[in-house]
Amino acid sequence: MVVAAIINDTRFYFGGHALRIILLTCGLCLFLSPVFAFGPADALQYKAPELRPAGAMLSAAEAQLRAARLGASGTYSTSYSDSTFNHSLNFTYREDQVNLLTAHKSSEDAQRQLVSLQRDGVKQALLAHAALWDAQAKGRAAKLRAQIAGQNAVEAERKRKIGEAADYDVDLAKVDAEDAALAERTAAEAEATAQQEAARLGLTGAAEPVVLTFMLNPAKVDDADAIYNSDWDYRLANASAAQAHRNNRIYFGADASYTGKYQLSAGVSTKGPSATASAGYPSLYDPTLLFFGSGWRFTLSATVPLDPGATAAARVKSADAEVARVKLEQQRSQQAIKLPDALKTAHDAARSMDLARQRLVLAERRLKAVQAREKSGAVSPQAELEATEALATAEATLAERWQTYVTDSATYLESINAPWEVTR
Amino acid sequence: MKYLIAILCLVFCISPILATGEPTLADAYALASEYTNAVRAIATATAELQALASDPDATVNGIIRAEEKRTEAIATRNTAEITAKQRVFNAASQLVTARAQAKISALRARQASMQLQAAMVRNGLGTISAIELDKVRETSLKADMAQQNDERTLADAETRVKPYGVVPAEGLPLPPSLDMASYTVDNHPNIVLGVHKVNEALRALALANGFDVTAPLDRQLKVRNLEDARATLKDLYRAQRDTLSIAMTRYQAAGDALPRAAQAYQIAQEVTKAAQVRLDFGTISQVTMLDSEIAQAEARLAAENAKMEMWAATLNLQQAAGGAL
Repeated sequence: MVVAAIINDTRFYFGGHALRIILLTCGLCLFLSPVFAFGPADALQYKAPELRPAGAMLSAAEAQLRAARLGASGTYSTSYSDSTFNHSLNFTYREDQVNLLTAHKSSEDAQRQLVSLQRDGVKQALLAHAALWDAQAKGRAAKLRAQIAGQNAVEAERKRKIGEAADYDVDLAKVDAEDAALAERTAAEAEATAQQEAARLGLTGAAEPVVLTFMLNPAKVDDADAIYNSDWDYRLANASAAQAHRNNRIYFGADASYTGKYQLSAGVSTKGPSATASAGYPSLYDPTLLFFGSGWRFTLSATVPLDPGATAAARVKSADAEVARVKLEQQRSQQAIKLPDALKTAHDAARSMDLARQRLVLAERRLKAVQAREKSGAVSPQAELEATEALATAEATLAERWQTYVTDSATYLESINAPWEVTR
Repeated sequence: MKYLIAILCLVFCISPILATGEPTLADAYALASEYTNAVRAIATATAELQALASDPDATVNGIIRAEEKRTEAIATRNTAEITAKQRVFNAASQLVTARAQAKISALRARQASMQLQAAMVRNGLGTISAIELDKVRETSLKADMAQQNDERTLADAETRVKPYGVVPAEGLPLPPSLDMASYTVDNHPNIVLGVHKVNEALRALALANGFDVTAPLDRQLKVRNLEDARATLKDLYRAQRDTLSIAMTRYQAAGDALPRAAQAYQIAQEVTKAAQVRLDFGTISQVTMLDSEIAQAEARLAAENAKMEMWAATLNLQQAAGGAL
């Protein structure tokens, strides 16, 4: 009624248009003000600032992969000398498995980095929510404890006056009250710090007392992040060893070239394998210096590497590959233990959080019962304060368990490099 | 110096003998377990009070409670002393009565025996019939049986009184006279306990006045408890005053009856003396003389009973007042 009357008065004074502007302004102020709370769902929407450069890195790695898959490169050059323009075009193709695998790994690394950054950012936001919620609940509990301790100090003083309490009891109650007041201030500072931390991530307002549960399915051992790295190390070492061994084998080549007014050349080789082609106009070669004169020339070649160092290097590469294989196996056996352990820890944290939630419900029931008893005079006003404090403490416990659950879930998701996914 | 040492040695040697000697009726109450327990309770309460008094962190009310506990223990000890004295007195009283009764029955048996002898002579002379003789014999037998019963009762009474001491043959002395005006009910343990309960209820109510920390219903309960304690104390005062008033009346009545009984005994003694003169002159028979002696013994029993009643009334008055002043 009062609001309607104000609106009517406002319309009377400002007219309909002015009223709309005022209401819009009020709405905007409310929307932008920090009174709005944020919850875990908002934290899940958090985008880390590192995501943008990571995205650019991913597209660069993908371009690198495409280039490596193509395996071809070329150059075009032009020069001017003696009042003549010279043009040259070169084309090279080389099949390099090591390079291809490296590019492939870089691309996957960039993709995983993107997922990892997103996950870590959300983790930070979720932890900021949990920390703020925890600080809020602890702040409320500390405030109530300070109130109770203050009442107890007054009561102790009163009891001393009627002879029911000793000086020691009064002094102890005073120390308790001061201690509780200090704890209240500390809790308020911790809440302000947590609020700043959340604001740094763009999360303003109070933390909603809400928790979420995440999809934490059992993963295969090969899905572990550590396995991914070891597997790539093994594959690269293997490819490097194979390439080293290939380079030590005999390889054949065929070349064709034409020299005249212009110059053409093309060649293929089993080393790699690779192919080259080039064209130049006008010919940069001086025909008078050519032994065979102008025209076509064909060459077949066979090359036998006679480098003991290269042979030894190939064996080293093979040994490296074997070492990488052994490490991969070790990593598999380790992850076979670590992954279920991390999953169990996360599930235990979820169970613990659920129990804390049940305790919170019970604390709410207890508070309602105490409030009813207080109305009928069966309990003291301080009993209601104590029940309210117990509720705040139970909420703080739930916030702590939520924090632990987020941390343990993040540990598991990191170990399998999976994103956050909320259970429906 | 050597005399002093000799005296000390003598005292040292004699004191255990004195300590282990036969108890007297006056201090026999100290052997009663209820009295010794009460004395130990006082020692315990005193130790607790001293411990609290030397504790710098003891509360004022804690010390007050300890003092009250000690006061209660003292009041309990006082009544326990009177109760134990009453028990001793009852035993002694029974013995005195049994002695007098035994003497009476002995005289009656003697008289009945003499009457039987006379009846047998008369029966031999034919002045009384055999039936009448049988009646006299039956009376004599009953007197003998009564004498045996009274002797057993006397033996029982002597056994009962033995742990408490020796009752002189002349009976108990007169109890000390009491100043009834100085006797009140304020020291009676029931009243002391009632007053302390009221004090405790008052303290509990004061404690329950912390409005932030006390439930209103709890505070109301404390108010009701205080009202209950006050009502109970009021009833206790009334009951104890009634008891004291009755005890005073009994004491006065006993005091009034005592000289009358003494006078009756004196008269009986004079009658016996006169009867003895007549017997000596032969104007009365031995049997008639025995009548006078029996009457004198009965008067003595009545006088002893009056003295016992005086003792009982004295102890009863002290009990009603919560102990001797």
